[in-house]
Amino acid sequence: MLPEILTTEIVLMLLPLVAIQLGLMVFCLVKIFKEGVENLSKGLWALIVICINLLGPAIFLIVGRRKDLK
Amino acid sequence: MSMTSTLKKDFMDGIRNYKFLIIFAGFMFFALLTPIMNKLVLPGLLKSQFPGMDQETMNSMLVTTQIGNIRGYLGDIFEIGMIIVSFTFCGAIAMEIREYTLILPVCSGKRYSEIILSKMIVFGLSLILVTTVSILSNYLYSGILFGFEIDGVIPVLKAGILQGLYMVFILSVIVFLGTLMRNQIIVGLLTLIFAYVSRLLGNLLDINGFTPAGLLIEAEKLENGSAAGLYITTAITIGLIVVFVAASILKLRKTDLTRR
Amino acid sequence: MINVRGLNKHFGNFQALKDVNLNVEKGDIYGFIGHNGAGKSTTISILTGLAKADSGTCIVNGKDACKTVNPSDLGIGYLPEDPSFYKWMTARETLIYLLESSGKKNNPVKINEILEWVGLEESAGRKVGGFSRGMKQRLGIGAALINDPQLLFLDEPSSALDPEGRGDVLRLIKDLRDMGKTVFFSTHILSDVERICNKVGILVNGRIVKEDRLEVIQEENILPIYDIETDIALKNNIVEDIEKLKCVKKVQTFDKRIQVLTESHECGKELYRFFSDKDLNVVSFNLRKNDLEDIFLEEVNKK
Repeated sequence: MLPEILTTEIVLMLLPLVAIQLGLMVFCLVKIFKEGVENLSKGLWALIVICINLLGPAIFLIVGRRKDLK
Repeated sequence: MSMTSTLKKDFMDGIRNYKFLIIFAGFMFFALLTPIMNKLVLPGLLKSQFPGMDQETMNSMLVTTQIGNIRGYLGDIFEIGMIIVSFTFCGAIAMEIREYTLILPVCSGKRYSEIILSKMIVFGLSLILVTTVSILSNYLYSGILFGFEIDGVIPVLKAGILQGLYMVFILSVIVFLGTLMRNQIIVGLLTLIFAYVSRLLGNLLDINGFTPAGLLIEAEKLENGSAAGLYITTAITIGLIVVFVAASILKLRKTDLTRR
Repeated sequence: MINVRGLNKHFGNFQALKDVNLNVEKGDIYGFIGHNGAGKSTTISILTGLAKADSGTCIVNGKDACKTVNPSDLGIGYLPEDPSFYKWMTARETLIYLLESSGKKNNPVKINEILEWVGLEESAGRKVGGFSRGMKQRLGIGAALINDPQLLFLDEPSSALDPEGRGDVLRLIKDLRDMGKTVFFSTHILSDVERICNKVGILVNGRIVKEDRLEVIQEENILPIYDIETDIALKNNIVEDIEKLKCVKKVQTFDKRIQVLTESHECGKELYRFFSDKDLNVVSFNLRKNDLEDIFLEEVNKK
């Protein structure tokens, strides 16, 4: 987007932010497709987790996660 | 023995139900996002929207200082972090009553006071820890991007702990509301409404120094040392927490846990 | 062990319990029978100290359950109708948590004993959220026993289970009887009561309509009906002769089988004599035993 200020230093600083975002997203997606969901369909939860930044995964972990797992 | 087991149980609850993860990720996200937005994204946006704007006008519209950044972060947390906190912990008591999970422990000898206090301790400490770690990260990030201008780390630590104490107060509201109603979503919503409305009223009537929201205002000052007003605000907040916790214990004692 | 006098409870305008009296002695396996909604669970939640009654005394284990603040002071074990555990805890963690709730130290030997007794030793490390209804029920019975209570309250322990699960639960209750525990359990499955109880209380619309030893109830209610089967169908004149016997009230014929309603147990002799005098070949001769179901329905229909 703004290549002139994307120095290595800044990219390094962006990493944790990206890691939180992607990490949460991947973590939730794995849970959705491996363990199953509650309240809404799998597809809908996947969409919520991918599209809604931060709050999406949070909502999924609170109300969408399957809790009667073996 | 019994209290230790309750603390252990609530700690396990925080980990296995991802409560700690959610608040940690939520707070850290904003702590890291605000400086980067202010440094990279917003200037870029302004430039592309108003190509002819000179640097001075731009600076007046942007946050260009570390203090400005930390204040921005604290503001974000009040708006969005509150939502995360409310809905992460809204089931703390409400869901236990709704799903009848207190019956067997109580029949085994668990005291009502232990149930409430343990939640306050475990979740309260986790909130204070998270607010402190997050604001320190924010301080570090904004310092690297905009230059360090605060005299030492103490004011930042103080701000984090004050914000944490405010969150503990919110937690006590959640716990109290949870003893009154079983629907956790309504508990979460009411907590949010309570927090926003009480801060708004505090602003309008200019009594924030005497409400828990005053802690947030004090935190945003990012000052070393402490004004006399801060002690009053802190004392009032702690007093309110004690009142809500005591009321929750009394209410829980009177609740018929078996009612369908 | 339990002595309840004049227990009343209402929810709004609805009178859930009306002057309930109960008496349970040490070592009893007490079957508390009633329809859904008759007030069984309400009674149990009061006796366990979890809910408060409007009036009445309820001495449980020597203490007044109506006045206790902490249910655990009663020293009882309780299995709720639908026992709820933390879904995210394993069976073992659940039992440890409940044991430690009473202020005791974790005791792995005891936890293992209980897990083994309820047949959950292999699932001990699994999260309770994935348990079947029957497994939860068994874990609940184990949990009720965690503090070695002498008196246990089991609310509908077998009602929602499949036949296999029911068998498991009944086996556990029998074990409890053999351990010398007193068990108070509610149910609407009467055959379960007949299999394991020695005392019965029948609750209809919040009122105790009958309470006695099982054998006494059965005895009292044995209607002297004889089912007699012969190798050939009886002729009409013979049936008429039977009807003429002094103690016989009514005779119904079903091909080779007749059903004789009599006035007293003494009639058996006369019937026997009658058949041998007439030189009729009797295939079977039975005094019909009333099962609890009939007694229960009779009590309900009195209302």
